[in-house]
Amino acid sequence: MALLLSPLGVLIIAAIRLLIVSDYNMSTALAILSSNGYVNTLLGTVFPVIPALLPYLALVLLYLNRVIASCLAFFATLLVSPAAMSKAGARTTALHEWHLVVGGSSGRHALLLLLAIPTGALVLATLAGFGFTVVVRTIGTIAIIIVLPLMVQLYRVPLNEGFYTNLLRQPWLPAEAITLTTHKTVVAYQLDSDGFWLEVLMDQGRSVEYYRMSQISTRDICQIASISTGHPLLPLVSESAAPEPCYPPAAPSKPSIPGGVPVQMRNNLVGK
Amino acid sequence: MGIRVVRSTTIPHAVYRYLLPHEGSIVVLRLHWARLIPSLTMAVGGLFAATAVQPAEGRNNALILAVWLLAAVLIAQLGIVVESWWNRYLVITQQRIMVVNGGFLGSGVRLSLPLSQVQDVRLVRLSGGRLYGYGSLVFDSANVVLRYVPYPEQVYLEIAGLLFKDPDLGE
Repeated sequence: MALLLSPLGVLIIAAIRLLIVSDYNMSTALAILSSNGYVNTLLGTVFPVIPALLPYLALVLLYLNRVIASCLAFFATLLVSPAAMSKAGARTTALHEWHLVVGGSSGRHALLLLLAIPTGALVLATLAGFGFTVVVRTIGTIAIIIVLPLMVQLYRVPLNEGFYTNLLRQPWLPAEAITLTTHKTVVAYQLDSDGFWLEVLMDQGRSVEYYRMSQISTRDICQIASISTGHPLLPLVSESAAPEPCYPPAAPSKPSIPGGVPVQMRNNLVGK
Repeated sequence: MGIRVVRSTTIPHAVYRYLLPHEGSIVVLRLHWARLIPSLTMAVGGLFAATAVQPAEGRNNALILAVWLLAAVLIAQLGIVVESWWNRYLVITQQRIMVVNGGFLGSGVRLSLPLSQVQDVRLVRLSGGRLYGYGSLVFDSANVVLRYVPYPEQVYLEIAGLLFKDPDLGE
């Protein structure tokens, strides 16, 4: 864990993500790196992943007795991590969790009481003998188990539907629907521009292409996949309208592919 | 007040194999049990927390498994700490101070501090130590701190007696 959070760990994560974004093509990866700059690439590869992983990072830090770091991570989670429900929904879920904990048969209550008494006594013994810091760490570790069910509902573990695949493959640059003078529309990410040439990373195929600026008629920011459409529990700014999707929504009868729409529909869109 | 630390007549095997034939006047102690309290609290608290959040209705199996797995890790952690405490000895001989591990999770001499390198020893007893009856021995010259030393005053006197011998007795 320490290695992952160290500068070397961050560098390794950035390198891995850059390769995934480049479809494991080293030339493309190097082109992105040289066009985008080392610092931009490093920050860009790491930052977009943080909101999705922050809730679970906070839990791990708490487990590792890094209480202050964990509190900061929880606070950041409230501000930036996309939640699966609204604030009112979270309150209802927390209440429901509480009812689940205190509800049940009398036998369960007796068992809970049987465990609560020594737990309370031991917490007091820890407080008396080892001080505030140790007791906070101890309670923090226990609290992970209590908080986990609520966290899983608030920040759903996205283990299916290729969530992480989409998240890792999605470049950190804004996607653009670039319409050429030939009326062909391509979805790409701008890597560099010198006023005459536009260097882009194509969304399809992840190759690096160059277009003359004079060839381009319009450019619009668009949204590729619904990776972080949720809003944090405590948004600091009012919700703004999301950009238009880069590809039209998939037809319900046709199975969609992760991260986009059926290939045929994409081909229609780019005018092939 | 009588000294409660007695010189060992039966030396644990884990310690005996690291002693030299001429090392005499041996005190062998386990570290204080108070060091188990935080791990014990976490294990019992983990069990309590897992029982509290476990209601079958409205929970998926993976979540229940994760919760119990976390509790099991805390219990296993307690097991490791107990095993380590049970098999770790503080050994004081006329030549050196040792901390010896004898458990199956790791055995060997964790610390061997020759008395010739020790110029002074300090006894530190914070409120927790006074409550439970342990203390910390600080060897500034060797940059070593021994925590959770039971019978701290007596052990301190034993070590101080070895460091500062009565000049009238001679060698």
